[in-house]
Amino acid sequence: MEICIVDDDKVYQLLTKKLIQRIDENISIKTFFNGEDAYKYFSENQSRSNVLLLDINMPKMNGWEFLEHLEQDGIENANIYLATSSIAYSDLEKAKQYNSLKGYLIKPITKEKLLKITQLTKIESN
Amino acid sequence: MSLINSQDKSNWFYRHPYLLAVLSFSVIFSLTILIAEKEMVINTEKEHKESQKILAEIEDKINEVFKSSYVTTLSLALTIDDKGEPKNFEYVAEKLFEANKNIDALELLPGGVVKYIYPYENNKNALGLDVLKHESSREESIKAIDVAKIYFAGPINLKEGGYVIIGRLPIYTEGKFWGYSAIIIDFKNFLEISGINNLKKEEFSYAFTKTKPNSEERKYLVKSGENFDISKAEKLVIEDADWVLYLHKNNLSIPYLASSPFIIFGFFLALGFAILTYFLLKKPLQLQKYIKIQARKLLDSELKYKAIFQEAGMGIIYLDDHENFLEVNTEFLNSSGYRFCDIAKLKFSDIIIQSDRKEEKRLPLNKFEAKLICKNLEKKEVRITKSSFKVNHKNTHILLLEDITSLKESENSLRELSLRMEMAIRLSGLGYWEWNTNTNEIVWSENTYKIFGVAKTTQLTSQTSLERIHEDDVEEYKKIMKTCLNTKKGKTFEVRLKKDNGEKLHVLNRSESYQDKDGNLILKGIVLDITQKKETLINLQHSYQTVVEQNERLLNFSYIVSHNLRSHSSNIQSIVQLIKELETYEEKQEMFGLLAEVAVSLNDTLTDLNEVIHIQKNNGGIGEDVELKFVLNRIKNILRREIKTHNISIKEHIPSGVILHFNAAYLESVILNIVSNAIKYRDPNKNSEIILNYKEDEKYKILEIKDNGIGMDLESNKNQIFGMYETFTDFKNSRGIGLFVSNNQMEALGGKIEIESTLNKGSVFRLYFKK
Repeated sequence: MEICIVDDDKVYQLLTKKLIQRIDENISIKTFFNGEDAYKYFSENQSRSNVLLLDINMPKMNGWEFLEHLEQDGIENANIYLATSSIAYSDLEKAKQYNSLKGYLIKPITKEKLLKITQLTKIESN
Repeated sequence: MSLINSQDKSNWFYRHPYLLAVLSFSVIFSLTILIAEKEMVINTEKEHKESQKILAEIEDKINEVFKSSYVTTLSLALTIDDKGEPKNFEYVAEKLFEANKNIDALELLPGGVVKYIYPYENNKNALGLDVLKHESSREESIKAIDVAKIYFAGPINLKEGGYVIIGRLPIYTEGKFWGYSAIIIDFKNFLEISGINNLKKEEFSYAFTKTKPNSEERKYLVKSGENFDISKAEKLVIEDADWVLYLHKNNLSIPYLASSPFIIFGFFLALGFAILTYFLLKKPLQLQKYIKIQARKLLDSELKYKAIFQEAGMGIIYLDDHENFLEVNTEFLNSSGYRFCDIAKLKFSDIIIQSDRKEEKRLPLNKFEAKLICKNLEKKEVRITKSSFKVNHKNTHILLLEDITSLKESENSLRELSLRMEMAIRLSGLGYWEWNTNTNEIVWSENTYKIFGVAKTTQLTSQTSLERIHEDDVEEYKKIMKTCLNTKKGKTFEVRLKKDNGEKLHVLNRSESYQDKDGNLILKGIVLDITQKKETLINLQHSYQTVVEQNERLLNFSYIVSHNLRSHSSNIQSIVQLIKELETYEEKQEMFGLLAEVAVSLNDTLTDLNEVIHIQKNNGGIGEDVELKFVLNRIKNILRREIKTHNISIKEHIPSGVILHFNAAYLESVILNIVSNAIKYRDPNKNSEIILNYKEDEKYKILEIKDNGIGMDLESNKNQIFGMYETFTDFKNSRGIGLFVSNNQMEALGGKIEIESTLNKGSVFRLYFKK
């Protein structure tokens, strides 16, 4: 299993990595600081990641743009979760417009949330 | 009318002048003709008688000749003796010849043969001629025997010469025809003796004819003139010779001509008389007609006068010179309430109050206004019109009384109404105007002059108002006026006016058009100065706009708080969670290191937010005059190291003396932010340059900052460019706070920022400062 973290917050990346490793050491982790790099990886490698944790506010290509690009190209092979610190209602509403989104996570990402995601993914992939 | 009736019958003559004229003409002319005819008959008679008298005279003379001839021939016959032989023929013949000077020759013709003749010498050629056998004389010789008395033959031409008549007397001896005793008379001589030759040819026409025995053939012996009409002539028949003498007066053939002057005279007399009759008869008829017309007119005007007097809608009073009432009409009685017996003893001046009337003057004016005291003592305003005339050498007056009470009342109420209207218009500040598009006559009320700021003495034309209207509104104004004129529909609209002092006025205009009774197209309207209201409204709109903007900024701020602060707090939560869970010291130390990092970030964010709040709190800022060049020089000084290090060329196209009214600190902050961005995001493959331009438009002073750096994809970042923490690059020192703050600073002072940018080509930032 591979989990991909797309977020410009260096601290958040570190913390999330730590939490994932504490759940399952076998899970490989991929990180990107902006949407553009992540999109490149996904479009070029047909993505081996099973889970994608996506932030909204990022330089170059934000979360929404990333989603639009993926939907345009028809890339659907990852369970994408929007992971944001925003508790703004407008963002939640906007998120509902994207079919490719599996879920909407509000930071902080806790161990419990991550466990649920990994378990769900495992069940689905089996 | 009775006068006319009584004359009707006798007027038959007067009514037929034409007929009578014709009649009199006929009578007189007929009389004339009758007289003329009588005269003519008398004349003719006289002429006949005259002819007959002349003929009788001639007859006497011829008879005398014949008698003497008879005597002569008989005397000659007496010479014949018993044996039938004439004795002493020569002697007797000579004696007879001498006694009767008319005789040309004497003959005895025993047995019809000429045997004795006297004077012999001249007539011997005739001897031996048997007259009973000779053709030219036989018939007449036999006629003499037939009539058994002397019978004259001829005239004939004798063989021996001469034109003669021959009288032959048949002689019987013892009952037996012996022969003839004949007398020859020269025909010319005969005519002389008989007086035929003496007839005057000018006066008479005549013819002397001979009818031969046993024949009807008439031979003209003497004739005066060629065209002798026997039928009109008197005739004298001489049987002893079968002669007829015809005679008539010369002018007998034209009897009417003789009387024609008289007839003509008669005709004209009759005509003259007829005309005279006609005119004499016609005159009374004309007069009568004229009288009839006058009488009718008189009757008419009397009726009219009576009708006017009684039925008139105004009071009519007939006064004598002492103002006593002679007559009044119903209307006067009705309106005043008097009965005639009430006022009969009064004078006109008793029931009238005339403010400016003086005692000594009686009914001085032809027209005046006064108060009439009615019977119920009510006073009515009346307008009196007087006309005076003389009746039987005394002055009388007819007064027309017009009740103008209600007129006065409405006049007063109208005056009051117009005063109120004026006051209303004055208080409301409404200006009225009217434009007659046909005559180009323009009327403005006082307020209109005030609103348009035009002196009242100005000559108004259609240009006057147009010149005052703000140039941006003039076309629209003209269009509305045209539509208003064409469609006849009213329109309410606003228009801006400029005053001489440069102030702008907002004016509400209501225009309508209509066609007056003379066919003129009139445009009229009202104007109202609504500048204050309008400005209040504009301010209100501004406030609303500000509120909307502030609300937007507030939303933005709440989002920032929601997102940016929470990202730190969520990180802290995560770190705290991990610190609790992690067992090893090293791991815990790492977490504390992260916590310190988050603390720094949180502090930065809070500082930024504080700055933003500060800008927004000082909304409107403190404006001051700042010289743009001065600010730019300070910025270049601050950035001098970067400019030098990166070899940036800065080109300034700013006119000196440009002054912006802005907060100096904000201005420096905004320009510094943009210029340092231009340096930060320069394209390392190019010779970097920054160009500064200055422009102005209607509302703004514009500073343009243009670079040839890496640029941005604005298409995809449109909404975020001025958002907080928006970054478009991975630059480590790019925090995404600069433009957010700059934009806030510009907006706080009524300015704005516009950006044009193309990836890899460069960006243009335009700073708009409110003028």
